[in-house]
Amino acid sequence: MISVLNSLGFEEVRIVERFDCFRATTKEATARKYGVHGANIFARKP
Amino acid sequence: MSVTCPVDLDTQRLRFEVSNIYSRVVAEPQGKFHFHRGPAYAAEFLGYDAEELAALPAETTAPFAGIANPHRIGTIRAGETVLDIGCGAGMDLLLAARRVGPAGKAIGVDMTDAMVGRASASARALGLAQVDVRKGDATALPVESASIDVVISNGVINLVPEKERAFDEIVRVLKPGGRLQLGDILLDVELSEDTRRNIDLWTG
Repeated sequence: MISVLNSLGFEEVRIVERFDCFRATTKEATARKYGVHGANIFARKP
Repeated sequence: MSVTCPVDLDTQRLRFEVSNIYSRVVAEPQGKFHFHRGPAYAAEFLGYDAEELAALPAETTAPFAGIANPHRIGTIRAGETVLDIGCGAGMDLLLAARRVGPAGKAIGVDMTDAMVGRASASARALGLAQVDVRKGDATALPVESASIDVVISNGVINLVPEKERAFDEIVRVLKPGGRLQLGDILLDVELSEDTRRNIDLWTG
């Protein structure tokens, strides 16, 4: 995701925050296996 | 790391499954799903302001199924034009509408009739005339080029098979200097081809 945004010419691309959004769901084990998490991402169009 | 769509993935079926699942969330938010929903989850897991959510219609907050919080990324200012891609029942959209105020505009786009109807009804109930909800797809946004100050989205782009087209559309609609405040799924490991063909994992 970050590399895609950079390749499109976005500036100031960064992950701002991460969230353990699958905690306590039936998919928690799958999320842990693949390192899946929610994230806040910022980017600015030049 | 993001997920790249295999060239032979049945994208029509994926769109159908995504639409079907989230239409069910709107109709039955308390039903059995493999992801969290609702305002209590949003406040506890994602840092939304519980009092702000309590001031929104339950019809909008109960089906909320986002995975991050675009409102914590940066300030949305009065008078700005915000686009929420995949606005769902409208929780993030209505919060954005409150921030831009009557001098601004909050445009929501969603591909399901159920979500468009729900978000529009909630905006009317709150008297937020600056809200405009349109039916459409992230890969062909029904939005004028270079017209948006802030694009927000929450847990939607990861569900779009043609991500490059979706990002091209975001670039097209943003004004120069416009901000993308994106809540989405990230992965720490590379997925195998088999895993990326598994539609249950895409929709999960």
